[in-house]
Amino acid sequence: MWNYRTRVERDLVRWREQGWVTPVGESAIRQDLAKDKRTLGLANSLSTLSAVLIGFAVMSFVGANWDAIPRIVRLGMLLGALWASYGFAEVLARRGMTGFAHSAILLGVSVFGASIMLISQMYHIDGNPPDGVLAWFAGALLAGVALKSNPALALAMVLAVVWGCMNGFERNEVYWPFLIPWALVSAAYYWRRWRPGLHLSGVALTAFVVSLGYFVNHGHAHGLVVALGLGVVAASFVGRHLRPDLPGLWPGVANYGLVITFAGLFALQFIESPELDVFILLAVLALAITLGAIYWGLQHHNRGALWLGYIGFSFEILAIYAKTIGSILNTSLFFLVAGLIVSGLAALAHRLHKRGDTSETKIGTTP
Amino acid sequence: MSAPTRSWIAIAAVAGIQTLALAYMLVNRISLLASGREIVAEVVPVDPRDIFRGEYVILNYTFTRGSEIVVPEDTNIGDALYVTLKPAGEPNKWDVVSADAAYPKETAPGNVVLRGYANYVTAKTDTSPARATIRYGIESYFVPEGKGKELEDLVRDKKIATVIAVGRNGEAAIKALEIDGKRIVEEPLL
Repeated sequence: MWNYRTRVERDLVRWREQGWVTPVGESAIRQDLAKDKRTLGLANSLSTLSAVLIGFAVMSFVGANWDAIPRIVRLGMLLGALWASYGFAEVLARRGMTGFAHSAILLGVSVFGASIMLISQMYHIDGNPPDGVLAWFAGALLAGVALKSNPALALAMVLAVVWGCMNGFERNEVYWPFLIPWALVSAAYYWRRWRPGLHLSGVALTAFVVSLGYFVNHGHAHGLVVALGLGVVAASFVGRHLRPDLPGLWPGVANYGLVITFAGLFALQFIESPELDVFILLAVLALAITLGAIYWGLQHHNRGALWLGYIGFSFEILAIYAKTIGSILNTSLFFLVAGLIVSGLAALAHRLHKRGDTSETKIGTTP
Repeated sequence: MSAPTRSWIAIAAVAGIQTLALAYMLVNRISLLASGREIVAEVVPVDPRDIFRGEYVILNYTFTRGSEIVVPEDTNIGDALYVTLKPAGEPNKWDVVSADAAYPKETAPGNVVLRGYANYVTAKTDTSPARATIRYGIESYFVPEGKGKELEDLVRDKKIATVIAVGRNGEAAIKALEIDGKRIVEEPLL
């Protein structure tokens, strides 16, 4: 929001100077921008943080000095805090303080989680810890959907991931049931049309797919991960043609596919320790993909792809450096060759970019 | 129905359902503690000198100590297992009779069945059957704040046992600790 406003401000001046926007139009746009004050950026962020902190404070009651209080009073305190948080949320919402209201809901969900832990502790319940996390997840999802609260839904995704990890690590194998809570929260994000939430879904699913490489086939399934990643990238291209009405979705999907592909290739090179020729092939492929991402990001104004490309490229180079230092390949020779290749690519990119610019202008002039 | 009323209903529904979930957890546990069959099981000492120093103690029993327990061949980590115990001559000691995937149809009068979960499974080989470590949910005792030192003084070289309530489905819950046959730190149910 902040970025958008400053950018429009900057562009407006230029547009007026070019004569594209009349002074009347400019002031109308400015007024419209000023009107849009739904987000009280800092205050909201701080209140969310305060809810998180108070939530932690309640949680640190676990094992704290409250054994002097009889059990029944402790239970009463927990339930009182639970109802008070949600009630307070509603009062705040009434007064138009939406951001604070969401923080209070988040606090209520935290109190619910703390209550599960505290009751377990009071009664020495030590059954299956993931069950407690699952119950907490269900409470967070319920609050997120019923009270239309995005922060609560974000917590729900975090809890789903924690639950999946606990089960996966206990069994040391892929824990497929993770996909059920993942899908439920993702559906809620979609229903709320909440983009940051959909990104959370993307990150969680990407991590899950990448983890397959470490769990399937006794931990040697990174090839499968690469294939899945390429599949996701391909799907985003197909999707872009089939559903061009969702322009915001496909670049994001492509970026997650890129991350998956790169993570798989990275593991194949540096965790599987392949033969030298295979390694070189994989390294070339990984570098090509990162450079491709940079090129694609520039062409399609996809900042995500651009940054992922840069980050992936740096990781790849660093890892190759760490692997080859003082060994098989002469490191300095490697960097010389890599440098030459990249500079060649830079020249190529420059020419392509120029050509792209002229064709873009052409498209721009056709009605 | 007006919008404000509807949002109060949503709030009450969320808080109410969460309260019910917590109440379910409590009622379950309290009814188990109140009506379950009571057994006393000796704890295998790990480090008897400062076991009560931390926030909670890990309790080991002769029937949790692991890989000795033979389990059905197709047991996976996390699977429920019903372990039948029989009194082992000495007081408060129990021996494992069998571990089954379902609650056994018949048990000898003195025996008791505990429901546990496979924690670590060793697959079957040509020479030995599948074995597992089993967790019953009675392995942690949260030490009441400030009582650690007191408990530790009580324990010195004495035998610790836990009083366990066992439900009809084999669910087990810690009711109290016993030191040298004397019941200590037993809290009221509510």
